[in-house]
Amino acid sequence: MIEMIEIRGLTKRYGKIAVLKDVGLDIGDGSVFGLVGINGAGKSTLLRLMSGVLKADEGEILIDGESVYENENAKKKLFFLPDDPFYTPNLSSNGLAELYKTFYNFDEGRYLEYLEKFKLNPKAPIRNFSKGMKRQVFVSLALAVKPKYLLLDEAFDGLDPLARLVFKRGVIDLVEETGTAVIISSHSLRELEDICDSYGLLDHQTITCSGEIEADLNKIHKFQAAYDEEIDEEMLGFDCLSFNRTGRVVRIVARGNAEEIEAKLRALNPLFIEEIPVDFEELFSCEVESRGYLK
Amino acid sequence: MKRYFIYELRKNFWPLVILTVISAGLYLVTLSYFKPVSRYGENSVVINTPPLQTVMTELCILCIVAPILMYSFKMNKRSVDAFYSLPIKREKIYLVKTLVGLLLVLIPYTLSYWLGFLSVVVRENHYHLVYFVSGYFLSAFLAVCLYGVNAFAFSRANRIVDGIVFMVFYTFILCLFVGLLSGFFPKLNDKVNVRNYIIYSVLFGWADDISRLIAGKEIYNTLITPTKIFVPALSGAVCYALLFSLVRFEKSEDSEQNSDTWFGYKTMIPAYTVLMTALWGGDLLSYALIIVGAIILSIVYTRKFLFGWKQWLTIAVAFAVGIGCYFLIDYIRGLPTEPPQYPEYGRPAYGSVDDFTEVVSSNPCR
Repeated sequence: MIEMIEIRGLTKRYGKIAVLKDVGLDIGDGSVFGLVGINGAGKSTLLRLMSGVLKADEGEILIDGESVYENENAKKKLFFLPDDPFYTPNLSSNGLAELYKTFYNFDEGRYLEYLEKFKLNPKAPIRNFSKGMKRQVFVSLALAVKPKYLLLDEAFDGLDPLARLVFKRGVIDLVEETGTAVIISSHSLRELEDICDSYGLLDHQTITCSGEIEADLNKIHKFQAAYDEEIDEEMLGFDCLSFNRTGRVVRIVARGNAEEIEAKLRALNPLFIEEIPVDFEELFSCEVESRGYLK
Repeated sequence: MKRYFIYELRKNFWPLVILTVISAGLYLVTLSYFKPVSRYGENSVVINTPPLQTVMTELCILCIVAPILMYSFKMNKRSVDAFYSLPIKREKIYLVKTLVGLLLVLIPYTLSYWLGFLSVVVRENHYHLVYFVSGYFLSAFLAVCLYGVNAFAFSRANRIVDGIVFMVFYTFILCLFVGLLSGFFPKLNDKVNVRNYIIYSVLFGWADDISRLIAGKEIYNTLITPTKIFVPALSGAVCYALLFSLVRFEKSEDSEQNSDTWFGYKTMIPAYTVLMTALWGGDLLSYALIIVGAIILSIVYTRKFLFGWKQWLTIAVAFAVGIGCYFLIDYIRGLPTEPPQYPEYGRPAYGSVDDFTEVVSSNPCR
């Protein structure tokens, strides 16, 4: 049996507007997958489809070979934490835990352990918590469910740096302990870079770019160079993903062989030149800029 | 599913307790002011009919409140995400919600009814107590039907306010439709009582009749007629069947959006415009009120003051059809007809005024 999430030809429309079109993706066991994209790209819709909340108009989502929609067996393996999770006015953290205990093999000890780490009262109504504290409650619940597939929408939203650290450690522990595959959508790309091994960029209703973060970061290079006089992008003789000039100092990001890029930059007689490490945020920015956004 | 049922029961324990305390408390307070027997002199007594209408009113309110408590989860994006991502099929969620909702109706009602019975029976009375049993089962049957209709109507909506409007729509639509048919076919008018096509009306009719039977008084209607049984039963059965069969076609993304179902405003606004115009038209004020009503409902439906031309066209066409029906009915009424027959208002179903003394004297509880 194939142990993974497979998405094949997925299309979802809201009325006449296609939010996702012909999406294809494979996410294997034990991987931590970062789902990125600009606002309105369809990240939440894709996660809601993967969790069986929404029904696809075309295509299918398979969890370990089984279609997820209205399939109790497939859904038992996953847990979905939306960007705006459910609670009623008087519901406490313990009350919400009761709901998940009904359906999952809920790890009470782990749940209490995380609440203790976040210093949250499990009997207090969730409505009295701040946005970040609410997120901490839901994160504790999600980690205590210990699903085979954990879907997290806007996972770091509202969490303070310390809580983010606890959460990231929790996710890594879960992956190491149970082989859980985690799919995280977030705009906190630095956080994603810390824990994700692969990513998918959702753009123009589909996954336009995906792969391993480390490998893709090695495919692009960032250089900073200073020249005697101002130079233009056309003078470089190669295509840049990003070109920024401040006076006589230029910063370029380009795809390709680092040595070849450096050689071309040196051909313009720089005063100095250095390669700067590229992070995931820059990779994302370059990808979306190259598609015409943010320009 | 069993575990989920237990979870829902536990979650709804306090609403159940509160509804039970309120309904039983109000009924018992009402009964505390009620005297089963009024004495005038030494031998003259008047047997008062028990106020079953009070507990029936509570039952009707429970049949409105319970669906709101049970199905409003689908009118909130957050709860839709939570419940529909759980490893349980939607049909099962609906089944559990329906069962728990029925318990929210029947437990408070049953306790109120029988506590009321006890509070009456411990006092001096001359009642035919067996009719309390009939009254309970007849009203419980209607409550199950009414809950089904309200559950279906409410759950068609994507917002709570729309759900409440739909429950009102569904209450009168059948009665108005039968009224229109009676207008077209006057012979039908002689055979049917349109009020029997409103479940609430049947419930209160039965409450009145059962109260009189308990007090040993005559009743003026036939207690059980095919219409009084089949209309609620069929309405309930159809609504329960649709409630469960349409679950799979519901779109989660519609939550909190306009209630654009064919079982809601889309059909009901033109239907009500036609029916109201056809049945109550004839003068400018009625026409104006009907048009204003249709416009207000369209604003509620579309959440826009300037709704689209399609909605205006729908209202205009419905209004024109309604006027056409009105004049057609007016023309048919002008045709010569046979004298009307009223089978449902025939001979008193239980005895007559002359039997009253005998009923009282034969009452074992006297």
